[in-house]
Amino acid sequence: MKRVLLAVVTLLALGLGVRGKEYAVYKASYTQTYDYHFEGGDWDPQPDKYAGYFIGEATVTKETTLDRVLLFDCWKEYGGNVYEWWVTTWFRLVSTGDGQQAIVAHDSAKGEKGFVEAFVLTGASIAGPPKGYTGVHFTLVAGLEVEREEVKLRLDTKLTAAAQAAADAATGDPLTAVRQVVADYLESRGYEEDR
Amino acid sequence: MKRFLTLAAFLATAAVALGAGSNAYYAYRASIKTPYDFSWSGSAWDHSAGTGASLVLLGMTVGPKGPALNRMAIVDFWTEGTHRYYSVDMITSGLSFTNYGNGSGALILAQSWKPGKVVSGVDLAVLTCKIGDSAPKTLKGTSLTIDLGDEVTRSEVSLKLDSALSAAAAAAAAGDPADPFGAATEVLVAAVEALGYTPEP
Repeated sequence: MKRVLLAVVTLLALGLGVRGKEYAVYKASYTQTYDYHFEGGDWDPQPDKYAGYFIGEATVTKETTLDRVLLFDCWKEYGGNVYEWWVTTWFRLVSTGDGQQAIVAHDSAKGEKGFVEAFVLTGASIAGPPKGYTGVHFTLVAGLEVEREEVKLRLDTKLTAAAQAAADAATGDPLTAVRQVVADYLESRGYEEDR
Repeated sequence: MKRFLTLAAFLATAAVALGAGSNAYYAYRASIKTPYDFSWSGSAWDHSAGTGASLVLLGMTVGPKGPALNRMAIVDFWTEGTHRYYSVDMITSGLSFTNYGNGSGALILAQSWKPGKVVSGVDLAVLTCKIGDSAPKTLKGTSLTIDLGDEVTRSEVSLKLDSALSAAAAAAAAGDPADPFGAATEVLVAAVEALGYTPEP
């Protein structure tokens, strides 16, 4: 009996271990509906649009915790398509029992007068990652910059599956393997890393 | 002695009035839609959505460099069951009003809370408007509140100028040089009390 229990516990532990981190790859679109920069003595409107990928690394136990986020920004430059990426622990996940979720982040700097930045993106799902999030990103620097972006994240199921498979097979940091999957995809579409 | 005190009080009042420049008070009726309101119950996050209404008073000082937004009073009023309540919030920091020079401007509220060394939350609102010769008739925009130990909200806010209430607030402010903004705020409080709302218990 003891041996059976030990086997069950080992299998459960292995099961949890295999599950590990979960990855969700979202295609991101950012629309600056409102963007002013104080330059040359005047406020200059500079509304813009750009795209990217927002990849969440989550630990799923009783609750889902957002550990790290891998971000890709993509844009056109001198006729070519370029991307850059970075990893951040800035974002937090707020999750309710009925499947409502919010990805939030905030920052403010003491040394920089009136600097405040905030993200609130919301989505909902009963099981698994939400298919999409929508929300707002504000950046304010008093007297210098006022920026509001509409943010839309749409779950890319194919890239999510590829990223999860790469992460599960990785021997090192799984997020590095995930990054390679997305970078390979972008490069297959004609993008080059901005160095 | 009494005459001296009266004179001293007058001079002090005049000095305050001159130092403060020209004050202006504008009252707005606010409608607030909050599709995302996450609140921490102590053991879990709850989610709700709703709409709200407020009266908002803007206290501006018109100086040589143009108008500056110094204070804002928000009188929220709501119904709970059969009860009608209101609350009053005064905001005295993190406010600014920016004229972008192309006929548009924005009211900006940016505050962060630091109970310790770490910022625990922020309050952000950017309401845009058209700028003309008089006070903006409408201001519209978004407000975000993030406090990871308490609440996360995203609201769409619309303010509409109430000329009659503005005039009453300005008159009350003119009649109370010691606390003009407080007197103007009382006009908004009286307006919601006239509708049967009582202070939040």
